[in-house]
Amino acid sequence: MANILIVDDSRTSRKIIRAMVEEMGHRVIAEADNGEDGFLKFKEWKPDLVTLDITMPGMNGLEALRLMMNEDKNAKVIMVSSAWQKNNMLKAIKLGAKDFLAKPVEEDILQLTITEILRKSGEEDLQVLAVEKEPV
Amino acid sequence: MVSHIIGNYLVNQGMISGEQLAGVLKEKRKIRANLGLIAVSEGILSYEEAQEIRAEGESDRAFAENAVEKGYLTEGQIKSMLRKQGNSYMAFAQALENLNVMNIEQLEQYLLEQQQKNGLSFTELEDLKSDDVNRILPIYFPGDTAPFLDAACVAVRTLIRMVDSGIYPFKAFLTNQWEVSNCVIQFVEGEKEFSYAIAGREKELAVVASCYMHEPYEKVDEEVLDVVGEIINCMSGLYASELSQDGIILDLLPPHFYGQIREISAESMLVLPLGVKNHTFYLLINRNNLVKIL
Repeated sequence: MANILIVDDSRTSRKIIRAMVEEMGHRVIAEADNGEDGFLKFKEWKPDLVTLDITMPGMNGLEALRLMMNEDKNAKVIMVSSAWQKNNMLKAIKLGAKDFLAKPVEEDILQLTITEILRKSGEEDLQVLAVEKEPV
Repeated sequence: MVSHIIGNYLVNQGMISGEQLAGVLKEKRKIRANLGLIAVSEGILSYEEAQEIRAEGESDRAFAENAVEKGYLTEGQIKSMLRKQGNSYMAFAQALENLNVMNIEQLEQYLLEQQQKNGLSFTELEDLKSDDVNRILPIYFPGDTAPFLDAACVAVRTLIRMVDSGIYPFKAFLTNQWEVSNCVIQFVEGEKEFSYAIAGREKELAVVASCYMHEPYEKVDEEVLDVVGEIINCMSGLYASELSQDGIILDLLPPHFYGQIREISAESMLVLPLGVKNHTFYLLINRNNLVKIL
């Protein structure tokens, strides 16, 4: 089970994503409706994973992503957007987003994406652990 | 889409009742068209010939074997007909027949009469039967509305996917003002700016939101407008994504919500009335962002 932060200005979108991730057995630890609040909640709650909308009033998702990655270079952030525009996707990937999901989000695709990110992060954690345990 | 277009047309013309249509649409979901019906619809067999072949065996396999043996159909025609069994129009026609509302011969005859009456070409009638949004919508778009067609196709495909597969269009038109009571509008800025709005006069947006969220909404309130905003956001995003294939960079602005208005006005905007569950709401498209909400 992962602790998830949902950042999206649409209450409807947050409600749909929350229902999906809870159905998968994860826990939504916080929600935010703009980038600034999203970043504050990211610092406060230290979630295992973030779903982050791009188009939001005030601070947008790309700016919030930049702040989150500065705060924690291992942050696991999935960008969620209705527009698959190459420029935004490239920016998000450059900034360190783990994946990019199109709206309307489909449950099976969200599940696959989260599972894959958590699996990879589990493997990375094990490798770090193995390196730490190696005799000097 | 085609079942709802033809079905509602039959109801409006007094050919069938609303109750019969509801039953037919329910039946349609459970069935596939039989080969005899497809052969009549395609004009390969007459209704009598299809009945005669069917009398010797009810199943599609028996029908195909008998039709080939008697020289009515070739194996190639059977193969082509098998591919059409899942077609929405054929399944609708089959449901009409199964419930003894109308047989395929009567339906085809009626459609031909209406085609002539409404000045549709044979190609347009075939486009309608295809159940393909990209082929059906142009029928509802008179010449001066053509520049809005691409944006409308993306919007209607999205609405069918997210809201209800039974959404169907009425004739589109251009106007500089349209009276509505509530709406959600999203502006998209950039090299090819545009805006989508979904608007209603009473509680139509609540119906749209109920269909998407599978929750009953009785009135157009903040929550309903937010749901409609999310639907518009997906429409705008998908159209912007399509345009980005041609290197056009666009920025989606957050949707604006209006619970109580009198009208939307613009220099020239497209209005596409759309039917869903016995309600009509409006998709409005503007090709620049000079829109006034009063």
